[in-house]
Amino acid sequence: MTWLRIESEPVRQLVKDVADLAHITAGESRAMILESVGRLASSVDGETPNISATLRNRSGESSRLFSSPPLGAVAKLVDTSGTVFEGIVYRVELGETCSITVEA
Amino acid sequence: MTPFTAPIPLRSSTIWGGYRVAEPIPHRYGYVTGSLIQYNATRTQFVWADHAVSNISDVTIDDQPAEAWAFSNAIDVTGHAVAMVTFNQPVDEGATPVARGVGKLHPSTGALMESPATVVWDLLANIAGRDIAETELDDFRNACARLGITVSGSITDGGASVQGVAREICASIGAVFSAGMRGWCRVYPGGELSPAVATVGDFDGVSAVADLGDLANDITIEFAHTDGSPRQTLQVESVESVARYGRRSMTHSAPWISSNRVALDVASRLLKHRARRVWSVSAGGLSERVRVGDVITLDSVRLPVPGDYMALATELDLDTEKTAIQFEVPVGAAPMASLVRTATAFTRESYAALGVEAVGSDYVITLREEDGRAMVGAAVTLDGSITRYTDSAGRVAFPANLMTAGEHTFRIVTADGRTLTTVVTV
Repeated sequence: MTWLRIESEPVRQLVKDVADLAHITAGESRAMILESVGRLASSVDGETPNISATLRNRSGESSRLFSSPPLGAVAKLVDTSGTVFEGIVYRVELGETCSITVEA
Repeated sequence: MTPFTAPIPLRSSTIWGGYRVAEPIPHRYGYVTGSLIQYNATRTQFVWADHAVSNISDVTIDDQPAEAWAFSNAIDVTGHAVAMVTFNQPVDEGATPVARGVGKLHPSTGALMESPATVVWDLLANIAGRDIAETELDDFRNACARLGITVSGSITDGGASVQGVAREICASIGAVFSAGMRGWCRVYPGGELSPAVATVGDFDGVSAVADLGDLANDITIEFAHTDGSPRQTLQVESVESVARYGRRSMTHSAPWISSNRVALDVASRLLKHRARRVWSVSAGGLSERVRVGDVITLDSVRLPVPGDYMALATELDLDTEKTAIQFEVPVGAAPMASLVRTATAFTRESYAALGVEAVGSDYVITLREEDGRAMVGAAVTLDGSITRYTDSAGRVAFPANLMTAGEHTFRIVTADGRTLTTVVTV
């Protein structure tokens, strides 16, 4: 289980399913809209480590959260062992789904 | 009629029968500086522009003031009006004569052509021969007048397309041109919006992208060009945006601006747009025939930032008669723009550059030689009142209360005895 934590104002915690809710900080905004997280890629020849997360947006769930896009905010991919990846939100796309690109 | 994508039909110096170098004969607008083109074999007659002009006030040869020359609006061997400079003595081989003057006059009113709308109209109608009435650009002319925008520059590149030059003029001043736009040009960003012609809602396939790479909070504008090289720069920043996103710099080339005031207006408008987050929005399936430059109202759950925005691109599907559009949606309040510095390039015989930077309650002036070395130990006198000496980095500071907004004159005596004078606008 992996979830995305965005250190925006307010902090957003985006999870895939109910079981994830038990692991995240209580009292902070959370939404069960995380559909998938892409692969974490990097190379010695210059590719900056980055991930792309896909969120549900069929009913505008992501649009309501991110109408003010959290560009530049710290984002962390977290699992039960701790932070797997940390970077800043570099790109947000809103459409049928929502895509958030986080770069190291 | 010249197509928008075809090269501008500038006349070439080859039309004179005898010529030294085949080169396009420029059209010049506003208060502008540009090279002279050799006209006769003895190097005493040179042409500045392919039309009559208001005046030529200064001529230099290799950056030194020329003596014994005269300006005239003359007729060349083809019977065409040209702006000519005649020297009493032949100009040395290899030397580059340059003139500064006041350019083209309106063919009907005789007024100086310095409104961006008038210059674009002259390009499209009189040079490219398109059937465009000057009144078609009235909205753009009025918008520029409200902002006090004038242009100065030269059309010198015979290989550039008609729309390429129109876009360059507009881009210089923070405006956009499109052959598909009603009225041809709009001030953007920061211009006034016309009434909306359509509403973009949730059935229009709205998608949006915001990218940190598009954000710029430190903008340097290069302007006052002479023969393609900027002679002045002006830098603005948004302190708030830099603190939030880190410094993100961009350079904006403005070859059609010669005024500090216009450069500051353009830089500020660009900064207020670019130093905040901006959604780039696409929408498809509109029933209305929206054209580039038209204004639409956004009312969508998909992107809950309602408001009126200008269409920057459109595509009409002739099978379905639906229109797809693209526009930009800035988020949040426009940030404050702060002037960081202005800089002026000098002639190569004197020194390379003078920079002015606000540091605390002082303005710090930095002087550099042509090769980039700091100008050490130079005596710098501000407005004839106070003299200070540059340090080992070529810097000298003056209290900001002595350099209020406006023009200030610096008299500089270098350590090796050269005396230089320049005017800086704060």
